[in-house]
Amino acid sequence: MRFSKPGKLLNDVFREGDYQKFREDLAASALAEFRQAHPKQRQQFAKWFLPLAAMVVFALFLKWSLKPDPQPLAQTEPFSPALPKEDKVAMVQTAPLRVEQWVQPAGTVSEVVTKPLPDGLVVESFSKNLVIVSTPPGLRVPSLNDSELLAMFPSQPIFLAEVAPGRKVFWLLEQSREGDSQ
Amino acid sequence: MRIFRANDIGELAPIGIERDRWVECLSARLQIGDESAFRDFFEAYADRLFRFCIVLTRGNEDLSRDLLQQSMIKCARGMPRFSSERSLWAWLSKVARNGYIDHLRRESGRSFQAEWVATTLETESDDKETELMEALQSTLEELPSEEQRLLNAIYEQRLSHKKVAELANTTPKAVENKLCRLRSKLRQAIMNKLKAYAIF
Repeated sequence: MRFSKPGKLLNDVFREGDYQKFREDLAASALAEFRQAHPKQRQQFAKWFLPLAAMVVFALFLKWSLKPDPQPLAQTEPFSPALPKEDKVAMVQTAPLRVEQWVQPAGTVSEVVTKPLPDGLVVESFSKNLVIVSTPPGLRVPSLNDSELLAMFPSQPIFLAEVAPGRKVFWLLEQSREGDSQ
Repeated sequence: MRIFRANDIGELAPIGIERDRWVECLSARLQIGDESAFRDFFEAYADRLFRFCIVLTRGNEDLSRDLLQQSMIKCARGMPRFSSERSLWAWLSKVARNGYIDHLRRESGRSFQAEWVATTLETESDDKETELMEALQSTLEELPSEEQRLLNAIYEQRLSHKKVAELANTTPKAVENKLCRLRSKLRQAIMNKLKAYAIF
């Protein structure tokens, strides 16, 4: 007779008699020894695991408590009353502001405006012995016209020529004098 | 989730995951002092180690129990981490073998004969199940045919005690008693065969 799987029979054969009782006693005593031999490791496990778990819980609590409240979304008037509320896709339309809605900045920016000086205040200087007289605009100053100027020197050869628009040169030849007039 | 089934040796062995992986997990759990891991370890290896000791001691049951006890207590106090079933069993069988060698040296006062046996044992295979199976097989063949049929019905055909009792026109209790006597007989016969090869 040959069994295909004699293992079960072999096991039952060696479990006969008081072996079962011996086995149970041995299991209990070995387990007691195991408990005695491993308290340190269990304590070590507890020593590391429990504080770690506490730290994780504390960190989660901190994260939860320090998390800023979500800002409520600004309620805006729909631009288009025809927009159905059931739409799940938010549609945004823009419209130009009216003039009265424009926001003016506070008066912190000062505007600098430059204006050209009036012609009478422009002073040109030359390296000549000239007397520059500044007159306020509107002040009437006695002046001569060309004919009156020429009439002042009836007996001397003089010469008056316009060298540029608005600029004339007057020559008094006998005394070798030279002057500019406008 | 742990799933166990009785394997062909009758031990509880894991299925669904590889045995090596199971051993690796078990070993890791033992390292951190997990009591349920030690119970699993005991259930998986106590009987196998006992049979190993029976063969090692050549049928000396009392000594086998002592060796099993020593080995299990040693395991409870601490064992290395294993990554495979083979390495775990090699370590376990070595613990039992060293216990037996120590016993031989104590008993024989370090005689030449004891040292020779010790040296021989150190190089022996860890697999004692094969030798035990062969002893069982040869014992089975020596049984009367009626007893062979009973064993065949229960262990090969896997019939229930009730079914066998119906076939034999007897009661399940009578079948159970008969089986019990038969197993004791087999056990004694196997022990005798092992003792026949004993050196001490």
